[in-house]
Amino acid sequence: MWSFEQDSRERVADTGLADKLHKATVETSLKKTNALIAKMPHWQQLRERARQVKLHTLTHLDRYLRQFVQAAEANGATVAWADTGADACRQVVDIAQSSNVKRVAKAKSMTGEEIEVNRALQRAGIEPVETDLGEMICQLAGEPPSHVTAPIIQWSMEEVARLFKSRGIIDEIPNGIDGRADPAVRALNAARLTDAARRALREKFLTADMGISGANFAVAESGTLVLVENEANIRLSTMLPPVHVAVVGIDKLIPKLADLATFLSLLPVAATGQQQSGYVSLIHRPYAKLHIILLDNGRMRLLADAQHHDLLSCIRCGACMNVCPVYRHVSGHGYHSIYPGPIGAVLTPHLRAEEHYKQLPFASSLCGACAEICPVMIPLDERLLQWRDRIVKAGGRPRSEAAAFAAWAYLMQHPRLYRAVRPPAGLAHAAAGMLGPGGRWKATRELPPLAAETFADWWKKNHA
Amino acid sequence: MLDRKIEDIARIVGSMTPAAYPDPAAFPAVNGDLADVFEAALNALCGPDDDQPAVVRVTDTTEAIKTLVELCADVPPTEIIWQDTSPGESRDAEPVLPRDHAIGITGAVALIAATGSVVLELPSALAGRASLLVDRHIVIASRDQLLPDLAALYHGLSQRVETGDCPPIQVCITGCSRTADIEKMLVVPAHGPRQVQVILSDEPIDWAVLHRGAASLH
Repeated sequence: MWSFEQDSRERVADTGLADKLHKATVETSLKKTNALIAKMPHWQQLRERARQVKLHTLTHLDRYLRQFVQAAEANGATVAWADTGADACRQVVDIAQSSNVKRVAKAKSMTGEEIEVNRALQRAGIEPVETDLGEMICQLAGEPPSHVTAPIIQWSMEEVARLFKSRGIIDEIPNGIDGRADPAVRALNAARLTDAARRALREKFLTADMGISGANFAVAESGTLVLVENEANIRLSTMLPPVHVAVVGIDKLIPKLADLATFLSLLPVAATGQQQSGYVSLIHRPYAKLHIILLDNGRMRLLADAQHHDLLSCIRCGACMNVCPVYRHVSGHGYHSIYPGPIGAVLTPHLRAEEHYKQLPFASSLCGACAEICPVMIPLDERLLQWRDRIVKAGGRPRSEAAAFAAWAYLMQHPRLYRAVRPPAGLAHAAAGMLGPGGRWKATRELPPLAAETFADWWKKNHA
Repeated sequence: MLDRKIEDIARIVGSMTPAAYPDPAAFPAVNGDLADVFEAALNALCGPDDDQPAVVRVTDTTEAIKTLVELCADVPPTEIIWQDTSPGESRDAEPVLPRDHAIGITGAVALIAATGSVVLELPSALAGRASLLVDRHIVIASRDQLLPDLAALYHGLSQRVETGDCPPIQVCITGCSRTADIEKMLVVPAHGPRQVQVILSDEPIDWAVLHRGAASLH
């Protein structure tokens, strides 16, 4: 079984990784996000409203799904249902084959990643082309994205240049791309690499027979799909090809177009520290042949979870990843899930059956920064703790750990006994590193040095 | 299949405590002249190499024509693409294989002051090209199209649902096409225009006059 603890040890040891992630989050996105929030007196009110709209939608999801389907069909779209990712992929491939599609332009979509639609298309002999710069790089490198809004967050420019050269996208690796080079030269080189990608993808856009996207929101009252981006690749993927397939999780529903005022004031701020994203497309009456595939893939099961159904209100901004000290040390790949970070740690064990995902709720320091930044106010720290409780109660953690904590709890509640059995501090420190569960606990943590004297003794001496 | 699934969801939802739909959020008032707020917001979104102002203020259609011709100087008409917004007249009726142009010229249905956004309604796929497959996107708009914020835009759109008057496709464009995927370094452009420039007229634009006056750009 894959072990988060084992796997993350290597990632944590790679201090270069933590450096890159820190720069990309704390020093850039997060800084911009916080600066904008400071200028928004209505930030809290918007968050509260967003949470309430999502909870309202989830507790009336049947009504809003029915309304959405009716409106979208009246607008000319074909709406279908997929129970699982495999089911959705089969439908996408069927649509592609019946339209004689050879090449697909793919808009960046986490739902597309979740169902692994590229693999299904390839197996059917259809070429999927990722068109977001970061996703294109992931596809060329054959690795999954590492962040929901910044897919190649831990890649250096040098690594991108080497990849582009090996794939013939650039002829030569330009000078001045390493971290020590002149920032102005590096900026120029980032533009060069982006331009090379733009040129390589342009022809693919113009010749794609089908576009595949997700949706940031699906508006029930009007049957509208809402797509948010900065690069314009989603517009190109959804508006140029004659067929557009949108794979939309049932969690994307919102009641009204007016609700976009709330969500589109929160999402770009939380995601990228932008007041507004470059392009917000509202596809109402499509001019391409539009197929909407509504995806369950575990979401209905989660909806039925009285304690956790609010995880379906996530808008995939990635802010919880940016603030998470664990994410910033192990990266998105450390979670082995397409949804990493705090939201991934609580969502993945719901959406995926594999036992090893039950380790993810333990991949947190419970600092609560995620809950504080979450634009839709999901109490992520509580959800993490509840997952731990469930897993422990189901016997999912070693018995020795449970016994140790039970003993600890008993001692803490019985001060006389505690004082009687308490070993000298130095010995306790050494013992913590040797005992079974204590050893495991200490293996991933650094204990501060213990004082020679206990606080109780010190107090007795100085204040009694 | 769909109906059956929605029935299943209805059963799940039936056991949940229903949450109420909240009142609209109160957005802070946008202070100052909306045109000034818009200009400042859009200027703040210029790309790193952009040396031209993002907003050019003019008084009327005649001045808008003059400015437009100046902005398009040295660009042959074959490299200019229009998204016609004048009613009853469609300049992209002929299906042409999409290609890149140097300049795309469009109108707008609204401008959002707080965010510096330009809102377009696209009646057809081809209409989208002028704001997408171009190096520079020039928008001709007027003061009366200014809305204070996104709340005004989306609340207004919600009201249009009831009358069945929703635009087929609406795109809200805020600045140039950009990416920061590589080391979070801002790069302009990504796949779309490198620059969005708005010619903002005090008086409403007379599109028939504008097309006649800018005939050299067609």
